[in-house]
Amino acid sequence: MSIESSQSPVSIERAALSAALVRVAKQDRAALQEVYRRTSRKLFGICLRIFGERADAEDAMQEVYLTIWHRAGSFDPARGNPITWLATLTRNRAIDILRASGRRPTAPIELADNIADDTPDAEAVLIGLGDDARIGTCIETLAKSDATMIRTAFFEGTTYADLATRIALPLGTVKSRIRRALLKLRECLA
Amino acid sequence: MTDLSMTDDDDLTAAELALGLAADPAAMARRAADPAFADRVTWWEDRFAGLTAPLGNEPSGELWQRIAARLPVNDNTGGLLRWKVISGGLAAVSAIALFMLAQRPQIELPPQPGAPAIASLSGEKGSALAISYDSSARRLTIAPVLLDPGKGDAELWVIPVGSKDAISLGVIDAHKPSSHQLNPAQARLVATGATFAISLEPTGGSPTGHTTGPIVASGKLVEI
Repeated sequence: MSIESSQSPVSIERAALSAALVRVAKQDRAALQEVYRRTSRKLFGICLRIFGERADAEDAMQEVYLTIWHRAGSFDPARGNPITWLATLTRNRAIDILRASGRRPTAPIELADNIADDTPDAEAVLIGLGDDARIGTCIETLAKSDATMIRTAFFEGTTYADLATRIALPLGTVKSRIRRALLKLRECLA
Repeated sequence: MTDLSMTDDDDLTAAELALGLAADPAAMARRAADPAFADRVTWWEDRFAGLTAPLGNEPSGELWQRIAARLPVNDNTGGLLRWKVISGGLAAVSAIALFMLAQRPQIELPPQPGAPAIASLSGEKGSALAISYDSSARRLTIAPVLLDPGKGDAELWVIPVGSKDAISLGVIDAHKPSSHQLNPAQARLVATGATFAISLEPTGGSPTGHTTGPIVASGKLVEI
């Protein structure tokens, strides 16, 4: 594969990751190791976010990479962004594991600023998350409580109804707040 | 937003689907049927994936080794069901064969030089255990990785090369590594290319001499 000099580091990273996933689909262990090398920090971030504990997050990571091993064939390099595919798979797998363990988070969500800041650091941009990471900046432009709800929905797979229960607000209120926040987010991302 | 057919409401539905906020069957069906809508769901998914920027924590250095150890390395799933079906019918035959083996004078085979052989047994849930076999000492070392026998016991079986029948090597410790000395009759069954399998059995092991519970893992013995 020739890589043109005009390509950004992000698209080079994506192309490399796509190529590695294609090889994983052919049961190439070295390719899975390459995927691991390129993505373990990011995917660990998702697992850690969902489980809170390192040991649980690492156990989930094993399941995640085994799932990648088995499902790499369903990734379509012509259509999909490999980072999205991996992040979605990781998030879904981790949430499944959490639910299967009976530890589905049901704790009340405090709509205060008590959640770790996800603002992307320079390194995140360097390792190929550049334009995706823009959402980290945009979400900071929302009201803290709206940002917390969106993050919770993303990381914990919460539905509107779950969110309403945990925040102790009417369903309609939660829904209209999130929809307003999503429109604002779209404006910032556009 | 270049597609004029998408209203804000459509786009919000796409975002909700991408976030998983509403398990809306109509929206899911629309994603499959309407490319413009599907593009918007993908757009939102791509954006939300950016929320997963590393938190600055790294997994432990040995995590990759733990993953690599669980990758299937053997051709160990094909034929398992067939083998399971046949094994019942052949159990009587194998019992006789085993009896005859046991009755033979116990001639010690000369120790075979070479490295120990290993088997990685895996099942639907990934790697279950690893076995190494030192043929000169007739010693099996069993290291469980992920094996949950529930309320019963995990039983180890060997399917010798060229056979379709499983012969019990006994109940094993599902939670910590153990070492088993094979008798010479058992040792004749265990050679490179033989398949090991684990079944879940009632406490104390299969009462019938053949597998009664599900096979949860299997793998071939290979030379290293």
